[in-house]
Amino acid sequence: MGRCITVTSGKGGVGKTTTTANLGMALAMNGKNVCLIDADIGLRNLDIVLGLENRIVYDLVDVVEGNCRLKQALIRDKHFQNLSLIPAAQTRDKDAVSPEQMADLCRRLSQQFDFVIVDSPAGIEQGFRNAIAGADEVLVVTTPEVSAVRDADRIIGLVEAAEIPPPRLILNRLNPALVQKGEMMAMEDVTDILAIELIGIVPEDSTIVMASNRGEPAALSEASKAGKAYREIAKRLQGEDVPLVMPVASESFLDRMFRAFRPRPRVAS
Amino acid sequence: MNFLRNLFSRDQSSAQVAKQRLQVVLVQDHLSMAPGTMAAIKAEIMEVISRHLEIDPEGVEVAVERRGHGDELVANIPVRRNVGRSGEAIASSRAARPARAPRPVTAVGRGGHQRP
Repeated sequence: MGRCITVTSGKGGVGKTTTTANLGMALAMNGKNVCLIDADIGLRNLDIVLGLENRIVYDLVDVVEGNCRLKQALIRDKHFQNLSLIPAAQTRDKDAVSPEQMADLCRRLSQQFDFVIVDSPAGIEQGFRNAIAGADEVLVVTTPEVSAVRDADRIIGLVEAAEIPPPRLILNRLNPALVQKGEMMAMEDVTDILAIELIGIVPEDSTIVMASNRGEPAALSEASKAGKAYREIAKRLQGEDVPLVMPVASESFLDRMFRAFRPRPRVAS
Repeated sequence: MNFLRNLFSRDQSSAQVAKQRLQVVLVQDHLSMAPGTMAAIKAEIMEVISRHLEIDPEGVEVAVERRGHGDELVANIPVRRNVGRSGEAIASSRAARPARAPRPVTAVGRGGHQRP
């Protein structure tokens, strides 16, 4: 029996879809059978982040309404056979699916897969309630900004009220240089306020945009710092003890100054 | 460089400001508290304490603070010290207004905690 994990945040644009795509990819890289569900009906995006937008025939609403068999709606990933996606419907509303139907789908999927990861829509309404209906656990994504943290706090309260175990936190888009200057809340500031377990810190990283552009999640890239952070979160989800390290700014202003005056190595022609 | 900036800057960093503002607003969110409620609580606490002790109304602070998983009502109420021992002395000290700084008395709602 697999685990159903919902990725949510309250606020939009903090990285739920990116997180879902990367955790799914990282778990699949570790050999797990993973199914991702895009629960953001009407604002389908997980497919394009994964580069699977041209393969969609059936969607979540088709499965729930019985227009197709479950197997027909599962889209195989390009890189990993053991990663599948159920895309959201683009032309329907959130109320096309009920929490009971969602919980039932998650139950069915967790019989076939090790991990079922649900990408929740932003907000606290029906779409969110659908997304957590089948969840065994919840990951709350936030950025170190006041609006995102406040919304995360609200979501944590709603998850606890739904009698799901306390969610774990992913602190996304942390800019280490800004934190070091005192101009961005640090890991401890956010965990003090939200008082839930932190499962990972993802540094702000331009490779995330590049990865979405290509439809190849950053977790696939060895060089991506954010990708590495996601691979580590995946290991923690699997129960491995990977120490949480606060990201540091790669280079300070002084470092750069010193480097500018250092003699350049000669390149052999 | 940061160290120098922090040394010469009297302002709080924006990260600290963010954290403090969040702590206040989340307490209001959690308790679904109307903006005037805190002022009313403060006035009523002051009224009750004033019946028994002479307090320094300027120094009274009442706030709900978030600690770990719970919220606590923390009241910080400075009381004036008696100069003499008898009831008369209290009356005279009231008139004389002792120069000594009032001693704060801290009351914590949930108990157990002391204010740092």
